Amino acid sequence: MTDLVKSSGVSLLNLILPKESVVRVSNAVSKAGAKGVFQISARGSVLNEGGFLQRMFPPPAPEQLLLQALVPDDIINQVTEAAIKSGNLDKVGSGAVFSMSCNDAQVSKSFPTNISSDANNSEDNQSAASLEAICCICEKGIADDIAKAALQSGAPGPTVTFGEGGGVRDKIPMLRITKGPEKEFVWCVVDKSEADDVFSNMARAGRITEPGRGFMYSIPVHSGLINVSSTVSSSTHGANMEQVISALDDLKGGKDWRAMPDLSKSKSLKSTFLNDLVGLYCIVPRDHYDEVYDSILETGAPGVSTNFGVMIDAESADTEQQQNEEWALVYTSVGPDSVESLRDTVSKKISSLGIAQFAFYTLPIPKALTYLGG
Amino acid sequence: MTAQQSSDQKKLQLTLKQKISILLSFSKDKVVEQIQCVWFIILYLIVFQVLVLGLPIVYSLMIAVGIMIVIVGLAFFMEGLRLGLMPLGETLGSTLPRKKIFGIPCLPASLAFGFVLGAFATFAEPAIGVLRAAGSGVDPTAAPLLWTILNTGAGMLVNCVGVGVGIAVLLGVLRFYKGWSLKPFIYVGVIVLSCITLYMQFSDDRLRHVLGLAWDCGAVTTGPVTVPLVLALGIGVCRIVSTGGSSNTGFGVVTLASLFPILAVMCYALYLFNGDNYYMAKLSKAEWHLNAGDYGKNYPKDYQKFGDIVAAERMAATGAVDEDALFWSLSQDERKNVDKYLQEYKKLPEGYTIKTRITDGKIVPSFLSSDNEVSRENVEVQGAKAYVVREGFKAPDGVWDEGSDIATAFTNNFDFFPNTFKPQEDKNGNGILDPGEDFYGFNQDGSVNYNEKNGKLDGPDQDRGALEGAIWAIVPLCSILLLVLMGGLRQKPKYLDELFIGIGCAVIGMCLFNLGIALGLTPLGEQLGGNVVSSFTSIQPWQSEGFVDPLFKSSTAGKCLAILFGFILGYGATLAEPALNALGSTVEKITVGAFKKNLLMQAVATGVACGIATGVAKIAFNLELWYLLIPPYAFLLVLTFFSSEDFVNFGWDSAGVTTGPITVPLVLAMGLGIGAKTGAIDGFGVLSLASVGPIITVLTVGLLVRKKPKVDDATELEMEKA
Repeated sequence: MTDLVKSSGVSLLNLILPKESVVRVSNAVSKAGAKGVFQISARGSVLNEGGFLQRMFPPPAPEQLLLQALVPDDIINQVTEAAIKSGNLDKVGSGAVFSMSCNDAQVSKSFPTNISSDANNSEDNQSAASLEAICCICEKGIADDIAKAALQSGAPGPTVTFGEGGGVRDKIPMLRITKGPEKEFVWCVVDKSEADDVFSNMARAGRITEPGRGFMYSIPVHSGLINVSSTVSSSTHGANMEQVISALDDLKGGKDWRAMPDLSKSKSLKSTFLNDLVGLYCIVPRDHYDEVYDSILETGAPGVSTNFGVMIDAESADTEQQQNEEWALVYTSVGPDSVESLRDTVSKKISSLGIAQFAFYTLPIPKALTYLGG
Repeated sequence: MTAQQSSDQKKLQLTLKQKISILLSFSKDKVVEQIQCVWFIILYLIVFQVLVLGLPIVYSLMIAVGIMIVIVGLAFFMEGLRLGLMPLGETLGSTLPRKKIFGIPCLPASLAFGFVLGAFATFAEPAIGVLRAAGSGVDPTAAPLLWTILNTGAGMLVNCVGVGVGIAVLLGVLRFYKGWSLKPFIYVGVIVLSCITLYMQFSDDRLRHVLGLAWDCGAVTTGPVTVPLVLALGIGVCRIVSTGGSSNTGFGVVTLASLFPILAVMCYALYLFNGDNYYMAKLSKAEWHLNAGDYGKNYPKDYQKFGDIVAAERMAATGAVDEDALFWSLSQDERKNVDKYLQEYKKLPEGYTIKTRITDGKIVPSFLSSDNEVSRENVEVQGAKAYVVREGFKAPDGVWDEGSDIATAFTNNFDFFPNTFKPQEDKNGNGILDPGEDFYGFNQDGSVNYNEKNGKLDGPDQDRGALEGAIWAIVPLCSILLLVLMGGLRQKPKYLDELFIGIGCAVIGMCLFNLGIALGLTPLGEQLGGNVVSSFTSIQPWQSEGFVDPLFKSSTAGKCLAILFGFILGYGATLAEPALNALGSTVEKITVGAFKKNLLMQAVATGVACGIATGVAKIAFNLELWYLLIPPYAFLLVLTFFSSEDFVNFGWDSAGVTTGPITVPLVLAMGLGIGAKTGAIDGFGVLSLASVGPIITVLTVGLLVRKKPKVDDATELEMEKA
């Protein structure tokens, strides 16, 4: 079995940036020490005010990019600072940066990263996670409703990416053509105080508890600066939503006002949540992702999803022009006892295929919601 | 206790009932999706003919069945695109820049592949048949060069267009690799084309007539199979080659593939013109002929003879029976019946009326009282004649056209290259291909000589059956792609069985689609196209006997109604086009849903509507093409300059996808019908105008919705320094 570099003092750095600032910020972040930055195309959200002309010619949503990188805990702060400075992320509408603490990470030797294998790097920098990231994996076409529900509950503009996913689908031979693998992933990062509300509203809008509608989960985020833009497309408003919200923040002297309960809306969802799961993420080159996908399904995981993206600082050496290397981020969530065995099976499969560059990391998932059979 | 998700490792065993229910609900969704695209245009056509023109729909059952077949065919075809063709194109596109084919380095191999793909796609979907139909009424004595290109030079025309499209795809692929913007190509292309257009317009009348054909060629080339493949290829390539930050979005090839054929046709026309290699219209009385001098020296003798036969027939037809005479005439039996009835009842029977025709402009008074000149007078018109005519018109009773043969429409016995007329096969020299003439001839001694079918594609054809057309359009292209992918690049696509199912669905879909169009849309389009002329002049309705009066007394008002009809027709027909649907989905996918499909489709449909309305105006009022075409293109250059790169990419590509298998039969029939009444030489020009419109609308929408990010200059500098 190939040598893996293991570490548990690693965080996953996430950046949501508009297209214009990507190059600048990714250069700054690489200079500050983050390597292996994985870039996924995404779009922001636009709140459609209706009206006949709007429905005939729906205005385009802002195009964004979601960047992810595994960064050792000791440099996470400086990397975040570099990102904020170069992308002006403290300005409203300029993007977001947040980081999640991984349970652990294992990378192959040749994977572009600078994680070092030290056993006791997990000093408890668990500053209480004050934010929560909510991710909803749903069928193509439903994401807009879910994003709208999130926006209306007060979440800053959810980011939507495309990807593929499956579970039940791959178990049906032949007839799987009736349901495409395309999925949309809705991401938003909210304050812990309003996370439950936003979660419930999104779940209700997407009807996640019905069979085949998708999977929703939340991950604790221990630090972040969220200033994504969400476009409100109506000329009757003088200011857009985030300007209004930040003005209110200033007036009220903080963000506490957002947590005030709104009794007119109904509360949390009355359904069974799945608690204390672990999300296993695997980064492999795109050409081989289907083998990893299949092997995860074979070990019995109920569902797998994939995001495709490129790594911007991995250049192939033998071509004169720079080409994008395509990578896939394969994700599944399982109970905490199955993580080890799953990871072992998959890494055995990977090494048997001779893939030299790959990485695993795990994130804690305290709450998840989906159709639970019965 | 925490809840658990079920994790069943075994494959799910579904009962037959479950499988059928899954399939049924899936099919229902797909069919409903297509009905949503198609209902508007069908409903509009029927309502227009019945309510506005007041004419019944002829062969209604056949048309209804045809339309249902079209809907099912479209559902299959779009599914086939989604499952098979587009993933194939994308996989190929994303592998091509990375691996070497047979040891050839990536860039030259990709370029060569692009050229082969483009050229082959033209042969696979020869839309030239459409243009030949549009030019079927061209008179060789009035427009000899145009007639030559469309008839005897048609094979060479297809080759030229094929080469043009091949070069276009090659340039498109090169553009992806080098990361060039599309704008310079557009500027150069449009300026060159405009200059040549102006030259041909003002230098010689013979060249002028070719302009409509040239511009229409660009509009019709890329068909519903080529476009999605080329788009998917572009997207695949751009996934790999585009570096961060730039908006290389994989579009632009279709644009080039629409501009180059125009250039190719113009060059071909100039080549023939300068080589004196076209029909010499000896019997022409046109003005240009006086100054033309001697030409046609290098035109093959056989072809010249053929042309003379056709010209003679056209001349005979123009001096033929005056339609008015047909209008007024009754058959002998009818006359006897009317006579009997008149004698008995002293009035005309039901369905007959008296119409007066005045041939002279004088009146003759006769005084009532012969000695008083200021008394009242009876006034008679000098040259007036009264006729008994049948009232109204008689439409065919049947709901199905007995003349149509579904079996041949479906399959022509797997004859992939049915012969079109080659003059050397006209053994008895009567200008028509009699049955059997392509199979045999007579030797010197009178014995029969059976020709063997050489199977070579000698010219464009429109007589393939639906099945052959579908197979020929899809299977060779996919085979080439699969061969290159699996053999040359050694990359296995992920789900091979889905791919084959997809290709199968696409073939079935296209076959049903072609069949449905032949049965349903073409008769409907011909009817409407012919009948819409009744808005400004009296005509004999399609396949009926008798005449109807024009709707409006003023012919201008009637023509305006025809223009309005064209406007809504363009809008509805475009929404149903499969290639546009594919483009919209691709745009949505590549921008991760930022640009919704609906935005592009509505903008394009509105643009096409404006374009077709302009085209109808051109034919109805007999305007020149160049001043309807060049100013919009000049305006477009300005718009392109100000627009952002990604809208330029989508916008110019949307021009290439619009005129497809649904729009064209409808528009062509209308163009021919109106043109015949207004004395236009041909039905060209509408399609090219229909291609300019959407570019203008999409670019305008792009300028309207684009919002610059709110960053002022000071912060911009700060960010640069950081």
